[in-house]
Amino acid sequence: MKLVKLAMLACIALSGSAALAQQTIVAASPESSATFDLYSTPDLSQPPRQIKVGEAGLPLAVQSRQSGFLKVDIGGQPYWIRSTKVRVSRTSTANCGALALVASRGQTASTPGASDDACSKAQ
Amino acid sequence: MPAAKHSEPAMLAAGRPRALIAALGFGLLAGCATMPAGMPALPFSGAGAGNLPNPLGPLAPPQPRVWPDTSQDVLNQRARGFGLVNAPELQRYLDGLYARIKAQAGVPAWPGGVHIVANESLEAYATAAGNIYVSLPWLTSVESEDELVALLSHEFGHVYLHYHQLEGAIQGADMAAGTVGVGVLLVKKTGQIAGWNQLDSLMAAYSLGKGLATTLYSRSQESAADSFGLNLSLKMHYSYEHGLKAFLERIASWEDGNREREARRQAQLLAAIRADAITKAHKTAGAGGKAPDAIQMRVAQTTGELQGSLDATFQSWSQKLGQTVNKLRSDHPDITERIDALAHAVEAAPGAQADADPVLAPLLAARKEKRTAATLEHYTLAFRAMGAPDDPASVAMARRAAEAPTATHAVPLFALYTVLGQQPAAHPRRVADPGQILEANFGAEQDRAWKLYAMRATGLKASSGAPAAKKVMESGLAYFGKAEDAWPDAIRFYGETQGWDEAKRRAGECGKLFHNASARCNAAALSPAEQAEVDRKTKAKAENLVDKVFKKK
Repeated sequence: MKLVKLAMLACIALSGSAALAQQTIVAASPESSATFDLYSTPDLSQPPRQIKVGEAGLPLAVQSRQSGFLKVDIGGQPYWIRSTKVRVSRTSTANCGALALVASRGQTASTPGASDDACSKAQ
Repeated sequence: MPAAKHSEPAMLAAGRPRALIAALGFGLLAGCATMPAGMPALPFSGAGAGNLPNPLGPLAPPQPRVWPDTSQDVLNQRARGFGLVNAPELQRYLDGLYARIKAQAGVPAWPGGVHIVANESLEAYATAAGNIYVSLPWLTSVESEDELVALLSHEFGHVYLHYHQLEGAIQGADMAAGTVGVGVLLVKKTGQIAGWNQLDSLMAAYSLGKGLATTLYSRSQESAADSFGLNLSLKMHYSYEHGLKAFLERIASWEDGNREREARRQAQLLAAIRADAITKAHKTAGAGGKAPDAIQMRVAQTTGELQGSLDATFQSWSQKLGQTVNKLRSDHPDITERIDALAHAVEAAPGAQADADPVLAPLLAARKEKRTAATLEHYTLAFRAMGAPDDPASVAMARRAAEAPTATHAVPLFALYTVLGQQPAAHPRRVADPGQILEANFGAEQDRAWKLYAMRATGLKASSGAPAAKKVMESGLAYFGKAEDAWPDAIRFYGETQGWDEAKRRAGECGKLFHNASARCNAAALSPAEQAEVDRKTKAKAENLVDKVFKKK
């Protein structure tokens, strides 16, 4: 029984840490930006190399982060990008599963909230 | 998104819905007596996620208001879905953050707290009573306190900016929209051979109707709440990067995932339509008792493929109509627009761009607190077990989920009940009535959820008869009777057990007590025969509309 509990806890812990490990850069921010500034170190005082967004090979896996910068690999070279200049994909523990459907709360006397009720809408 | 070349059917598809929506939208807005008359004059009305004000500027003073009862508001929310999660230590942490947000906004004495919604989707909303409701996955997904404060500040923005003043008008618009919306969205239904049910149509109809009346106002609310949230969180020394930006990016990823899921569902539907048409053509070829020869089979195959393609095209048009409608009616501007609007606002305010490390320690400590950690773990297990109730591993997960401190919580109990219902052999004592599992919820006042009372009463009605079921229903109503969301279930139950005249009497009572729930209560009081007649008329209206729109006749 203890083994089962440990396995369940490990399963939960793994899914939590995976959320951080899977971040990727998916777009420039704002999306209308045509270029990315690439830095060789996470330091704004260094002159950046500029490339077109289309040449960056999006999505880019985030390897690490440091004081406002994200480290990525472009064309086999490590670079740092300002995190405020890119849009990052982020995982969540949410799910439109069986329970979300049973729990569908219908119309509410409240403001719409932070995001669309995607589970209900998609059905 | 890159511009795509359009084929002829796609262009037709894009054109027809637009004209249809425009015509019906005009009709709704022109003919709707309950359209909020003052809406065009409201602040931000008509604005989407456009230019946002300086994120570090002063806040406008709040409007005076009359506060609804906070406890009644909580009871209402507990009567919806699986209710709320009772996690006192976690709530204390959230309430502490909310108190700091209110203080920063200069309104420390305002009422309201933060409550946790027992749902596995990403959901958050605020009510006029000042309460903020956040689903459990938000609390396990945010990566820092910056992001959590951003979420709470955004929701508090709806309260501070007094956006609930339009609730009555929006509810009114909902009801008026029903008649038009049902007809429009049932266009989808006629375009399909299989796969669309009444609920889909009704939900879509509701969405369209509500959206046409309130979309612009709601969209402007979201952008203003983003701006408000950014303003407060920056002043509280949380960062844009780890706060509002991360918060909106998480919503964007969640919505992307759901769009992909929906696209897969639609692809499966189109494949089923084609397969169904081919099967029907084969049957037709083989009719008359003689086995079809090779040529007949080839003709049937071709006919079926052709018919399947036509049906699929029609379905595809309908799907595009739905997508167009959803985009039009969305309460929220496109999430990318919201992210971009904030990015522009921050770009223009260098002080808002300061690099800062995320605030992690208090959030991690709150999650690690013993009872909170166990509660979060148990809900995760319950969600997983519900996702695979046939899996033998789900039995252990559901059992663990329904242990202390969540032994009386609705979601873990429902998960255990569901899993043991699917795998009765796993039940240790082979009890005659597994529904008894749900009753553990009724004894703990803070954990009670109306849905479990309704489920238990329905189950007992089938297994033990009306008197036992009525007892459960009445004990549920003794607690939840003042919550409007409890009434439709109860009315339907009394209709089934005491006759539809009694149901209609109670629906009348419901309408007097809760104006907003009146339509739902009346619908719940319809007998099966009356409901069938309503369905028949609705379908006929929809088919008539489709025939006119697509010129089938």
